[in-house]
Amino acid sequence: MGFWRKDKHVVALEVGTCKIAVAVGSLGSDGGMNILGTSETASAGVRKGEIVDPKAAAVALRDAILAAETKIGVTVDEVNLVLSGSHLQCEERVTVKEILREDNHIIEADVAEVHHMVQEQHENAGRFRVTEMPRSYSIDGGEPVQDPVGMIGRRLEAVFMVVHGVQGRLQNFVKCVHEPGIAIVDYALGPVVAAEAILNEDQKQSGALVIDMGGGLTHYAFFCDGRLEKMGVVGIGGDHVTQDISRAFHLPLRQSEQIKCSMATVDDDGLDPEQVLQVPASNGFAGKNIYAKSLATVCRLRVEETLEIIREELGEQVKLFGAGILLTGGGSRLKGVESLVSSVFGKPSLCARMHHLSGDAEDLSRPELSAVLGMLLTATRKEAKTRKLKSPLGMFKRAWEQVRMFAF
Amino acid sequence: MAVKPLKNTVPSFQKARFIGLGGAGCAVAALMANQNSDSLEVLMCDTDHKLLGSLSDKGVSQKLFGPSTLKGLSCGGDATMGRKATRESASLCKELLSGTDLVFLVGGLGGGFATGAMQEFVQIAKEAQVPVICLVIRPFDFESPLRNAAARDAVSDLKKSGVPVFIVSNDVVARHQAEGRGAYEVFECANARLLEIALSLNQILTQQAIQTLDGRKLIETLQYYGVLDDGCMALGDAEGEISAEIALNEVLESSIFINEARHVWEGCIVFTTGGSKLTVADTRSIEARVKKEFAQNIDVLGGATMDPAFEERTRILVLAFPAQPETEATPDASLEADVVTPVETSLLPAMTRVPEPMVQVSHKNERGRKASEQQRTTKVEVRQEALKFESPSSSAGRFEKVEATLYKGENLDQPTWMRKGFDIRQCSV
Repeated sequence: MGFWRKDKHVVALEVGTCKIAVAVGSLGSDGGMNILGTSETASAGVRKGEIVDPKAAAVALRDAILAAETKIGVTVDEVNLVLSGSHLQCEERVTVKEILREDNHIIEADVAEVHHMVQEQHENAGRFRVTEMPRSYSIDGGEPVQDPVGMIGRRLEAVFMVVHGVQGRLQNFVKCVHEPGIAIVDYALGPVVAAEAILNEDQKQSGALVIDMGGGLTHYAFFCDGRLEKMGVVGIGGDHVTQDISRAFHLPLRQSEQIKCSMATVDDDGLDPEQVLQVPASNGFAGKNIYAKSLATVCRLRVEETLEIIREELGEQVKLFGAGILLTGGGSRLKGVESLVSSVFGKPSLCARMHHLSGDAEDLSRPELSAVLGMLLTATRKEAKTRKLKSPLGMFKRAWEQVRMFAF
Repeated sequence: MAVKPLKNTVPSFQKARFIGLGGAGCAVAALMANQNSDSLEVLMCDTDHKLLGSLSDKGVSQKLFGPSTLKGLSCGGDATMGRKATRESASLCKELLSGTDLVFLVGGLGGGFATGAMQEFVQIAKEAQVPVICLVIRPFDFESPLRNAAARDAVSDLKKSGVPVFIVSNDVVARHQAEGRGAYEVFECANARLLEIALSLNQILTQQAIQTLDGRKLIETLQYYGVLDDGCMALGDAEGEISAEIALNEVLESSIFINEARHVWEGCIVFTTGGSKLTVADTRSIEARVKKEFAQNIDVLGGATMDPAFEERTRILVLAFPAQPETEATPDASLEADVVTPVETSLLPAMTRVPEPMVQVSHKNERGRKASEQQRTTKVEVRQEALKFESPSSSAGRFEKVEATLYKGENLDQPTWMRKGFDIRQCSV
């Protein structure tokens, strides 16, 4: 380890509707990520990914941080935050710059200017820009290109994907994290970082849809030609399935959650209509028998509806899923969900595994941790880049590149 | 005189004109122009040359008011300037109000052109004997007290003029339809709501229908009740195979049935617009559900039109008519025949018990008033009792307190099996 490298750990935090997940990692000597550990505790005061009870949420967050510190053996004072919420909206914005130089060569400053132009655009009152990502460039109305620098043209057009959300709700989220004295060093969108954890470059090139089926929300992100094409969120999650079961069979929420996790399936086709499932008695609940087929129908209707909304929002892009659909999040554990997704989209689907990460096998096999581990991966990559820039070797390399440019 | 509400008659009005006054009115007119309604001629009126210029690409006929008074500038939030400008352009106003069977006047009551001009338009329309329906947007409560006072005064003046006024309040829209959204989006939602109400009314009044209400009598009924605010209107709009059911659910969750203002309802009219698959049976079942939901035993009249462009879409507009406050009428005035006249000629007799509270002459003495109050209190209690035992089936359960997840008019927080009408087989073992 070089003298410029401090053994500093990176922390990712996800405050979800059902759980608060913390992942701690460090930057390995090879520039890769080492997962030091993960911790997961029950969430409170959060509905559909938004803070509805700040006090309860702050207490739950404090407990989660404490649990992570105890379990992993690190001190958490700053985090990389996973952002989510049904209020987040994604839209395309186009900026245009006329190239007035005589040679019409597009230089880095032109690209920087179109970026600056989109950054300068204001959001509607009450909304806050979360991020803007360049999607593609085109020159003189031609085919989209990834990097226009060095090309010749009179008009540079840049398409950006802008994500914005309700300012107040985002502030509530940030305030809740700041409450126990934790600083936010960076943030990223849940579906984007989850995709980072489960997709490889090849899948991103061929066209892949990632569906993150969370407790309060279902996020999706569609990648094609190596870049993010579309992302969105549907305000429906596993909590809705639990509620549907509860109201269909008149069961308490706790029992409904238990049978969802242990007995439920979304494949009601081959089930015997007379098959009965026993919901065991527990404190204050006398126990009940329910039909397995009815339970499956209730779950299927909800999950199918959510998937149909996503299919509708993606429109013609569905045809571009060369690498199929990858499912992640706690909801992807529901039995039969893969075949249901395949039948709705007409494309192959599978529950994603975080194969290309190194760490505890048990952590990597848990789909509900994909967003927090993806955030950890993104933050570690950023950290690696920063260290490279700051390192004497990096500085020497850059100086050498400049000398080379002038000399040759 | 009893009116048979289900009689399929020729519409009373052939052609209506939709006049957008001021900034908000012109914005709604621009939306209306996109609807390409054959029976509706759309116009924009304002004093602001710049505003009209910015909307010139909407393909709507535009009229500049008060060119000498304001020289193409806006009223600057001064309703008196709006009134002056309309008086200056009185001949243009007469022209706009002539040669049509019915006029919709649309505007925001924020104290600008529409606030001043609407009353002038109404007076000229009355002289020309053209029926007018006013659709207005009330400003937010947090806006300046002057604006709110101007809005109140304008509504009060319109009410005195005896024209039907439909009020969409920005605050109510922000609370129910656009919760958590920015002011601009609330304005858009309010405009869209006003547009849908106008479209529903226009369809029922001017188009041949599968279930027609007598337009003139409907206008008289609306005139009698005067002002209908958000608490008296419900709008449901949905698409898809079960659009009627979804739109109906939306209606049943509206403020009419929450009834925060504790109205004692006298009657209700349900307008349904659907595609070519809409049947009289559908509309009857919608009316039956609405009637059932009211808990009070009131009469519900229905009207329905078919619009082939709707395909699988259904829109339901419910107008509930609350009992008129007794303080409005002086004891002597209530005995006069002209107060009762509109009731006699309107649709109200069809709502069997409706005229009761209004024609109860005896309630003007102290004993009668007490009895009437007691009767009203009893009605409210009955409603509360009924609410206690209502099934919570249409609620969003644990998601009730967070922003609803809406998609194509459906509240996705309600169980899917329930919305899609699945019967869940319960195990008796």
